[in-house]
Amino acid sequence: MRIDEIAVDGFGLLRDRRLAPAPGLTLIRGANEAGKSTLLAFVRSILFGFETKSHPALAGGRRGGWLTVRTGDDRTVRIERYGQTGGNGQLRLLDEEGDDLGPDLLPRILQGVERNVYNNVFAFGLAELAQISNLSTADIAARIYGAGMGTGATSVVEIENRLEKARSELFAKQGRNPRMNVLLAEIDALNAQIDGLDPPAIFRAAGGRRELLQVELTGLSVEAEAIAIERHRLERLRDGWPSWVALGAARTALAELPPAPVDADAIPGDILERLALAERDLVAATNRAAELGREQARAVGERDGVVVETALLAGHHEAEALLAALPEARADRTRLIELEHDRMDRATALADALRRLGPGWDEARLLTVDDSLAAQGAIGGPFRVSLEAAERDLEASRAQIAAVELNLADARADLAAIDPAPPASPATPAEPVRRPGPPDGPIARAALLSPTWLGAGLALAAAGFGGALLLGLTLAQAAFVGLLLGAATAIAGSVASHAPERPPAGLIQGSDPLATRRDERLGRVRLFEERARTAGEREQAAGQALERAQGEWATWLSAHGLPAGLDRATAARMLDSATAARASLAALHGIQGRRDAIGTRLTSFESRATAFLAGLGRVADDPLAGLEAVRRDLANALDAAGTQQRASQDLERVEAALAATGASHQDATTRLAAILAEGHSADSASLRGAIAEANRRTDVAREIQAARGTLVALSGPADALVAFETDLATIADISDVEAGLASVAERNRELEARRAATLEQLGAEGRAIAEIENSAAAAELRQQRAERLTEMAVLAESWSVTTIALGLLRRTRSRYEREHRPDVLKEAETLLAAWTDGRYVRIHAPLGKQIQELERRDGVHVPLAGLSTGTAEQLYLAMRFGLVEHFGREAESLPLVMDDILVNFDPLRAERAARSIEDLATRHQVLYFTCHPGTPLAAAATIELPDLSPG
Amino acid sequence: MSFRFVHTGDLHLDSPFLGIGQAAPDRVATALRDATLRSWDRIVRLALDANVDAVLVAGDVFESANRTLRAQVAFRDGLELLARRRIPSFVVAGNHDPLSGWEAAIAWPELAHRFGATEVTSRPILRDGVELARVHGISYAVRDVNRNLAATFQRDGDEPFAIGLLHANVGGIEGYGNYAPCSLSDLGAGGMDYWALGHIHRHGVLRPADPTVVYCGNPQGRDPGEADPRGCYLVEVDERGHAQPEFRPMDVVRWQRISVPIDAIPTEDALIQAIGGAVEAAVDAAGRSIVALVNLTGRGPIHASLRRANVLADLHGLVRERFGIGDPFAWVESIRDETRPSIDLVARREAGDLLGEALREFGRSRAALADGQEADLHALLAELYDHPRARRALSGTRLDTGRLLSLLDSAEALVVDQLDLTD
Repeated sequence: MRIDEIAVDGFGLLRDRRLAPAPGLTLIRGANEAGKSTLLAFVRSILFGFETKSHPALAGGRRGGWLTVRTGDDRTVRIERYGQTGGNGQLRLLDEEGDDLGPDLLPRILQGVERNVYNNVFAFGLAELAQISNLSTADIAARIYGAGMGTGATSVVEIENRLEKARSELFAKQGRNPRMNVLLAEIDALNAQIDGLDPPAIFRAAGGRRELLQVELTGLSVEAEAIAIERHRLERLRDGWPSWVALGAARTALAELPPAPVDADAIPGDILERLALAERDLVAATNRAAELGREQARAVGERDGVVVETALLAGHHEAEALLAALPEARADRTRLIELEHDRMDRATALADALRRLGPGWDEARLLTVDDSLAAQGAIGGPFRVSLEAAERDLEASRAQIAAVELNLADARADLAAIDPAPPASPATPAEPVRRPGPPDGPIARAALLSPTWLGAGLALAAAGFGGALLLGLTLAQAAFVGLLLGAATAIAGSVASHAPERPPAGLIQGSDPLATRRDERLGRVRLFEERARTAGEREQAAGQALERAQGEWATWLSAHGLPAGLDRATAARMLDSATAARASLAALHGIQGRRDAIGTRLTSFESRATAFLAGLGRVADDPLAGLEAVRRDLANALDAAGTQQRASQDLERVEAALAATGASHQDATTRLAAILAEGHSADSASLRGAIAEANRRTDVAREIQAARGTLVALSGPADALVAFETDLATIADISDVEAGLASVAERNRELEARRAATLEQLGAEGRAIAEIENSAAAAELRQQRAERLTEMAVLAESWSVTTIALGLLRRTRSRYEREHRPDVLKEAETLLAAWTDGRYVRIHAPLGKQIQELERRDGVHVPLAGLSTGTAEQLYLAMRFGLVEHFGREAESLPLVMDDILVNFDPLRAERAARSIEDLATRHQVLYFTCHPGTPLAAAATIELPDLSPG
Repeated sequence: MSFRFVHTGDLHLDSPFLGIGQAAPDRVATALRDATLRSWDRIVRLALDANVDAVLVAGDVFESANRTLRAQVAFRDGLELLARRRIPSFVVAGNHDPLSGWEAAIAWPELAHRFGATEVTSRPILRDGVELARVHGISYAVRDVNRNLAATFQRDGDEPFAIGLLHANVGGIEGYGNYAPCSLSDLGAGGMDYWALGHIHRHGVLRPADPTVVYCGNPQGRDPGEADPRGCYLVEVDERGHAQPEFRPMDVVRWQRISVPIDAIPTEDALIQAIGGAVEAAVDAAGRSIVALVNLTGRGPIHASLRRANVLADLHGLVRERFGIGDPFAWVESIRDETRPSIDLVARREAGDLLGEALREFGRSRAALADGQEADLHALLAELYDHPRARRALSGTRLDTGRLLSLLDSAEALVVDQLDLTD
């Protein structure tokens, strides 16, 4: 690769600066601060990225720029980089057409050379040249040595270090953390656990312990048996002691008892019981007799102390019957009074009703009136129809007559106006037509008057005055009769005045207009006259019909017991009054009947009561009150009789009991005597004393027998009993035995506790043994140990392989160092020898390590510290040139950029070094920056840099 | 009269599985821990199912160091089951369970007989009171029995079929303690018809007839060295007295070495599938659970990937997660990377660079080992193997020539990987 163009956009004090280096050596010359170091930094930055915040674009422009380079495959690529901070910034690789080739192309263009290598080997200034450490970084050192070893960039030392690290991570002699050391510790721990779980030892130990425990258990059983025997002996002594003591006491008591007074055996065993029974019965009979005596006296007193009214008691049935009927009798009395009041009221009402009907009305007449519903219906029914129809016809006929008379009068007046002397007519024109009856004729008057009188009568009747009613009825009857007479007269007159007339024939046939009009008017007069006559006839017929109806009505009134001449309304009202009066009459008769019946019943009862009271010798004004006294006396008499009866009954009972008690007393006395005879004793006390003596001896004998029985039960018979008694006899104080028992119980408790503990231990051992027999713990631990041993073996192999690899690699490197000189070193040695005129012939640099010394031509080894600055710089420059040549051979050459690196060389060596640079530039592009005009370099091109310093 | 019997031995009941790391889940760990017990159960079941006339146990029922009560109870229970079916059992003690060793007071059934250690004695195998065969046997009194016990066996002469029951190393087989050493000719001398031998864990018929000499092997492999089927023999003896031993696998969990060449495997994912497929195929083939020891072999593009840090561990974890998780299970105990880079080591050995120099260095070490010079490598490894505690923990690892050569190969591969520029 070579740089064809350096284009600075903005970088440090440089701005918009473009340089075009030559393919070979280009001398770039400028004064101090002309920007040479900045350009060096610029080239480094474009190729590998910016240093952090170094070289900001102080003169303006955008920080960065580009290099146009020519690659090994003859391509032109613009490497462009911009950025304000450190790092890659914005990197672009463009071809000649401006197409972006992508940033990945850059490492390939640089042949894998990294920043560190480039900066120290290819682009360096005096400062980098003087530092040996720049050449001893691993990657550069690897370049130096790897070049000849075929290991490329790989450092053998790095490999060794890697292997050593891997190895030490597996195992360290004194380590704790490496995996194998950890495993060893774990294996030790597992071994300890496994030893602790050693089955034979545990099993034997457990078995041994179990045997010991079983022996101990046997011993405990023996001991327990001895304790049990002792406890049994002591318990026997303790239990037998009371009997032993009782035995001694009974024996003593028996010896001290007097001889028996009676033959106890001859006396029946139950004699004392029978004696006590007989004595008790005797006492009971005596006490009972006394008690019954008292009861007898009391009963007699009760019986005799009561007075009884015997007569009353004898008639008590009648008394009770009367008393039972007494309330009804009292009620009858009350009812009689009430009925009398009612009767009087009814009688007054009937009299009033008869008075209202009129004079002459009494009960007999009243009973003749037909007040049936048929009669009442006839008044409102057939008679109403016939009478009203006749009256209406009569009225209509009269109205017609009046109308015709008016017309006739008009017609006559018209005729008279034409002919003041009209021909004679059958009727006088000035005379009104005769009618059967005027409107105010006798019938109408009667019809008008009758209601007037009837109304007055009714008003009076309503006022309750019967006389007025009768008077009203009479007046109405009179008016009715007058009316009928008037009507008949009027009808007769009317018929006579309205006889029809025929008009004159001459009037009809004449041609005189006046005559014609007179004839016409005369015709009308005739016509009306005819009509008047017809109407009169009709009125007459109507009057006759009315007359017939009124006749029938009068007949009906008479037939039904009503006064003649009554109109229908009055007749109906009279019928109503008669009905009411008859009802009052019937009620009066009913009350009187009931009053009579009750009066009869009461009188009968009072008679019976009076007779009863008289029988008792009692006189009472009011028999009913007398019966009330009887009621009281009868109750008292009955009570007294009951008391007397009960007293008599008690007396009988007591007397019977007294007899029975006497028998019991006798029986008890007899039994007592027999018992005393049986016991050979005179009295009860003697008998009891004799028996008590006998019983005491028996009791003592029994005590002796019981005590011996207890002892035998505790010890056994015969010799055992003797031995037991002997043992008992040795006891001075029973508390000693109790103490012994307590002691034995304590010993026994302790023993039981030990036994339980032993059994528990035995169980535990048994379980432990069973657990050992079934336990997989040991196997599991061994499996774990085996697993770790396996891992250990695997790791050991890995460690062994690594260790062998490392050992043989180190051996290889040593041999290689001896037998091979790296080309880089060889070339550097050649250059150094040329520059120093053969003074230094060999560079000593162990494989992969820093350069350590130079060997002079005379064989003297000069350490780096012993070199002058110039010589040291010449050594490092020679090393760099060797590396550059090496790169050139191994890969593509890269541009070499140097900044005044010859300043510390003496002129001769500078001259020789300059020749070497010129020679190098024939194979590699070299950009040499200098501020010295006399730099001994023959460059292909020279670029002068303007002074950038201000001013 | 024909009859049959089971010939087993080297049960090593309740002894731990070796070679199982701590990562095994509980179900796997439990299965492995109980595997020897379960294989004994299987043997008993075989005897019951086959209705054999006897069961012969040729020593090493237990291990002295690991004789648990659980094991003794389990063994007794098996004998008890046999006895209930009137099947007698004959047992001799071996170097791992000599009679001098501790023993729990667990009574055996009457039909179970253990031979004493004083001299060879014999017991008949009867059927309905008729003797079918006579078992001659002798136990180890102590672990180190160095005398030729086989030579003391002698046929009585009146037995219909003579069986010698013995725990012994015939012909000094390597890898096993040379206890009761004897030769095949020794075994032929005593007039036995069948030698029921124990001690060598790899089963096999040493001699098919006259007499038939058989190692039953151990019925359950317990470490990576005991891969492949393990079991016992069901022996049929015909009326002419010809024995036909038939091997019957009895292992519950089988150690299985599985080689997976990487040559044609382009990616890690493909490698996981290849390993998983191989593991599950192995389970199917075994017909039981297996503990798989996977070796990646060959050269291929993923060799470099495998050598990166943690890649193998991750691979191992993924395979365990994804495969063999059923029942029967496959527990992938290890995945060893024995792959090599795809470079021509012969050519590189001639190169003048550091790698060439290193390869030549390893070549020199190999040559020294071939000459029996192991001191150089021993010295390198002394830091670990001379460490007192580490030495005890690694007592099972012998740094013999073969082992050192293997280590050297691996170390060389490691160096090549580190220095190889082809990465």
